Amino acid sequence: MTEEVFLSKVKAHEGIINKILYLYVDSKEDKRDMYQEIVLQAWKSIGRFRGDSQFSTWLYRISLNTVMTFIRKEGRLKQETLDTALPVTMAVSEQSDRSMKLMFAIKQLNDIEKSIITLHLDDYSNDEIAEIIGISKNNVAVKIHRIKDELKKKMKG
Amino acid sequence: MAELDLKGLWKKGESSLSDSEGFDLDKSIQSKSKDVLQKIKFILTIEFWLNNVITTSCSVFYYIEFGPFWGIFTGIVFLIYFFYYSFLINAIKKFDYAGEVKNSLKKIYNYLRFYVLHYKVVLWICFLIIPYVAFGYGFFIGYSGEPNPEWAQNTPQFEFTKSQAYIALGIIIVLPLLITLGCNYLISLIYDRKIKKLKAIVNGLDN
Repeated sequence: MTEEVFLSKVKAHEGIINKILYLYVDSKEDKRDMYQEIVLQAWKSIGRFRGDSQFSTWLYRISLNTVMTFIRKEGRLKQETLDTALPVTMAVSEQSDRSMKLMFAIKQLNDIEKSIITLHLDDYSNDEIAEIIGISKNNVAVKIHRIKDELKKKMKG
Repeated sequence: MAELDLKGLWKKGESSLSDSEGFDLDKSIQSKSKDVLQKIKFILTIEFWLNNVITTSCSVFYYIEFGPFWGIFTGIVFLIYFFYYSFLINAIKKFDYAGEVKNSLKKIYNYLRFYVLHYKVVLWICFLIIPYVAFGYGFFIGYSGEPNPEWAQNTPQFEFTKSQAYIALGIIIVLPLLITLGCNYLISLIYDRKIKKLKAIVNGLDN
């Protein structure tokens, strides 16, 4: 794959990287570092990409592996106010307020829970999630159930 | 809350994350990796070349000075180092971030644990065992009454007074120990947090 094709493919799937960065990284500086690292690791691995899985699935794996081996400078996410922890581009309405709450609740989950629920909400099947994460399909189903219960509690609280 | 609601709210929320905050995609593939494995690979490569230069020089020197046995012996030591470091560096080069998350994190966790052990062994050998053995051998030669080696016969003789000997002994014992423990602590400071974090993630995936 040429550099040009690679960059256009990453550009088309940039949303995946942005989502992961939002959920896993807090500071702007760390986000820039991680963004570069994810793209760089993807570029290094592109020669081994055979097309057995979708490009988005492949990019998800690289993003998750890269971000989970990275230590955030601030450590655990502090109890920030919703205003600072959420995207500034969101229009304020009752519906978007609930979206904000959901995203903030997901951001507070642990690294594994975040990855599983993000893939689930992005319409990946349990089989695909199991393939990306490397755990059994049953384990994925159990975890999703548990995470949803936790999210419901967080959303109500 | 129904599943549909969660997905609906997620879709609405994620649309606001499309902004990449001005990060430059084109420049990213030319950037330098800050990945922990790359850092380890860099350090190992330095160690690899240092060992190549030092052991090859020693091998040639010993061959000329002490004969073929010691020359070949150091040559074998060189080969062991050579293959050991080549193996470690190649293992990192082969690592692919596109693998299954659980397997990849397990591999990185195992690499980190192994490299920390490697650094600690190297540290103890270089800063503690070698200085102790070298100084111990020096004292033995100096105080055993053995005939002076040829190279020392024309140099002026020096003997410690009792207090100087105690001070020298104290420094020789305490200084390498402090350096070793200090470096040991630094290694733990750099890698322990990451290792613990990876262990927690991998354990979380197993449960």
